[in-house]
Amino acid sequence: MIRGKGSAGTKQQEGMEGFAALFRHFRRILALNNRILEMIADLERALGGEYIYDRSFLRISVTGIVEKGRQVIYNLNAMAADRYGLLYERFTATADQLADILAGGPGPYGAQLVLEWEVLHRDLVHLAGGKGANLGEVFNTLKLPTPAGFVVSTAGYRRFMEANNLFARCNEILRDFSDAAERAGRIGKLFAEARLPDDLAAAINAAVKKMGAGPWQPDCFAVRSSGVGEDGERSFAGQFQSFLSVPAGEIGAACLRVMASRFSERLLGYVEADVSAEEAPMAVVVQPMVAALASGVLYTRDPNRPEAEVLVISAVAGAGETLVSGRDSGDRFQLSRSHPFNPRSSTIAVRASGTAMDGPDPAAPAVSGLRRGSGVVGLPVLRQLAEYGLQLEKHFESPQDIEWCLDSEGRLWILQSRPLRLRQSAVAGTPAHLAVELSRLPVLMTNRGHVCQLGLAGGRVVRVTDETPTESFPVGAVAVSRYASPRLAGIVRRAAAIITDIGSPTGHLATIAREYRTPALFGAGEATRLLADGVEVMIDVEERTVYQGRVELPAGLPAGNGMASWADNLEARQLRSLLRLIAPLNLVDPADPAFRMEGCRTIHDFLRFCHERAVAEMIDFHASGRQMSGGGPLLTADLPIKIRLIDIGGGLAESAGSRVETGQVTSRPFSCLLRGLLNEQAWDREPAPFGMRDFLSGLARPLTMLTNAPAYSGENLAIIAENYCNLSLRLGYHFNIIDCYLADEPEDNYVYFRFVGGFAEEGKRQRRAVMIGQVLAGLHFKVERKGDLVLGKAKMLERSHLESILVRLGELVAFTRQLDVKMADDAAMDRFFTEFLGRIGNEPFASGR
Amino acid sequence: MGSNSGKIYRLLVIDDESIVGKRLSQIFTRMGYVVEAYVDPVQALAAAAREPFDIVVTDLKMQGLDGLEVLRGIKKINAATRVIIITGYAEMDTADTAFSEGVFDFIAKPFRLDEIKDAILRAVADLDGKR
Repeated sequence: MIRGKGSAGTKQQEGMEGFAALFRHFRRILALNNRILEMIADLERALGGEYIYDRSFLRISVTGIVEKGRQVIYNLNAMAADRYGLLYERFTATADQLADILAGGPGPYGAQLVLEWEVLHRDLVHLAGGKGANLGEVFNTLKLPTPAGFVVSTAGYRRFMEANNLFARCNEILRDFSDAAERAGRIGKLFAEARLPDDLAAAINAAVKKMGAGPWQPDCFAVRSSGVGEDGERSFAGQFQSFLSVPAGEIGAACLRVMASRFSERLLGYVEADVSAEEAPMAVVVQPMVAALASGVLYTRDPNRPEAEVLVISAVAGAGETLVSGRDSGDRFQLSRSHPFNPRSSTIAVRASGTAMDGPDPAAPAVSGLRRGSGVVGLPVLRQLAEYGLQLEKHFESPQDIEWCLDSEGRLWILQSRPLRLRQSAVAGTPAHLAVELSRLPVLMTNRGHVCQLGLAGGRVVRVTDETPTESFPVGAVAVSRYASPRLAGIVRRAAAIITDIGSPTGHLATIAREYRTPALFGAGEATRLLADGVEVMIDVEERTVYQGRVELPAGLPAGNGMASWADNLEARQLRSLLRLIAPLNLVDPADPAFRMEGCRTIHDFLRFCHERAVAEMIDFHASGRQMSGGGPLLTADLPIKIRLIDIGGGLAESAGSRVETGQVTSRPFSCLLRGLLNEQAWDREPAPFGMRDFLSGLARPLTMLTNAPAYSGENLAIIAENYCNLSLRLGYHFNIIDCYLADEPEDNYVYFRFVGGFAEEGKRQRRAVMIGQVLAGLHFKVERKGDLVLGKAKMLERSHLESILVRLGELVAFTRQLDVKMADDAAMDRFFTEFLGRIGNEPFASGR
Repeated sequence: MGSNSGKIYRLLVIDDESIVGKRLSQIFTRMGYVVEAYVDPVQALAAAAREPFDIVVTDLKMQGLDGLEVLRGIKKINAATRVIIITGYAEMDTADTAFSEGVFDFIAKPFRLDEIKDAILRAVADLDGKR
């Protein structure tokens, strides 16, 4: 494809071929990159509930992503003489974890005896148990305060059981005896003799030492059961043992006793007789205990009247053991489930003197409607709890039973959140019944928008923009916005649902909505016009319809009645587990020291890293001294400079001969630059005023000594392809490179601008560099400047935006040709800067991303 | 909701991955139909033999019995049943065979909810029109 003509030297020819090969690999990386990102977007969309998929879809998608990811790494190594070989090894580690999940394996943390708090999430039930997984979700996804501890995993439990040969010995007892008390007694003896294996004890001790500071009771830990299946469909709630106020030195022993409670008489009486010892494994949650001023339980629905729109909160002074164990009913409050969560009723417990709180109470009751002075917590705390409760209910998609406490600073902590069991109404709440109920409401909007996260929700419309402070958004309201701006992430967490005029199911905010399980309909066009602020609405994302008014959503929704959440079935869990290793981007900033091969964890990290380095390889090729001029045709244009062209594919029309008219240039980025270069207004054709100082300064600085200047062949050269351009210019003794890729995918696009040297005294050259830096910053470049060297980079630009930037760059190049000679002082620089902006018009400076 | 003629249609869903049956049951129930879902095509055909269905949605590649065999079995029980085949391995030659044997529609997995709903509504309109 090389169309350079004439008698180029062998060396140049080799350079040229080297560059063409480099460019082929580069384009291959871009194409693979796009395809993989599309596949990732498809997987993310599937998570929103709009698609019906099966496991073979997951297998085929992930296998394809991995295969293409490997090709990206291959192509980068081909560009970079195998300097990125380590990537193969790291990529294989991630690919192996994906294969493990696809095969139904436990995933990346499967072998860890102890799990750190930061890695826990809802899809780790098999390792962390129900409680650990839920608390991880509360802490890591919802970012609600919960004391950060650690979990002894089911792998840790198995390690303990196997080290003491307990599975086999328990199964023997289970086989030989059928009476629960007899079984429990015999198994209890085995556990009494059992010891934690050294590696597990060491892992627990290390985790205890790593726990961070907080408002904790000194040397006081909660050690709780976290069974697989506990709090789930067969609730073992309260069946396993928990220990409070455990000193650090006794945590290991407490863990052992919690694990033993898997075989308590109570539990053995509860599970089916033929369940083997290996089933229903037991993880253990260890947390520091909060020095609590008050504590209690929040039900997000009233178990006695599930249909009533109230939350129920009970509270006692101090830590909550008495309340949870049923010894103290405490104060009891009912609050409306709608913002601002006004109190409906309160019952303040009569308590013995000394139990009521003394001294100043940071959460003192202060609002009429509640009895003053005597309640354990005040309305602000109750309202905050209500907010937390509704967020937890939405996130776990069912009414919740939440244990909480308040520390001496007035901060709330979530200690546990699990499904609240409610009796189900037989008719109300069946899907068909709900559809009929909805069909009776007036329709405000229908058949508009894209499904981002499926769901049915009701609430008051609150109009938001990306300026709306997150905390001002009422929890449980329906957010309506013009744009699906990523800045709305906090609001999406608080909202019952979100609808936008503009936005896509593959955008960042859609991912956020799926993460928080917030029903989301984006790109509805006219939602902001059709849905007035303050109106009560029901939104049915599946039907892409918004109704005016409210329908009673069944309290148990979606757990019962055939509305079972698709989001918690096996395939959805598998998909989320896969996506956690694929989609998140940890390598964000190339300037960050962590932006290196060792930092790549997810597939997206690998893609980002490879793309960044591939661009660097393209740019470095020119800076490396490998040359390739001499062969191509000259551009015929009304320019005061000559530019030689080398087409490496699709950059010139077929008709182009040894001289090329501007109309024959088909390279998209080069055409844009030419438009700027040809702008008459920008060229300064007057001879520059030239002082003796400039002349001497010029003599003292041979070109080869220019800071970091690439070797220069002495000619203006453009290497072009349909979507690529590398322009090397020598204008007024300075050296300028523009390297650019311009195509339809914003992800692919970048532009690099490098400007150095000149034939003027140092002060002027620096001033010019400052000015160019300012112009580039105004064009949204990331700018680095060292003396008179200016480096500017911009990436991920919309095509139209990058086109206008290139036109401006062309103008800038033309304008600065002799600027260094003219620029005598700062005032002159300002004048030139203003003049440039005036000449080119300043529309792209005002707009941008 | 079920149909214009007032009859409540019976739908059968067959897919050896239970997730598909679960989700489709949910959606079709909401549309007002009576739905049965099976992961085992042999059991599904037995259910159809007991009481025929109006519309059948079946996977193509399954253990035991494939979608084309299900199509033939269903048509033998009740030629009027509309059969929609879903598959992750849409191949045109299979589609041709299926159409020649009277399949109502062919949908490739993964598919959007509105695609399958649309296919069901068309099948219902077809049934209503011929009744």
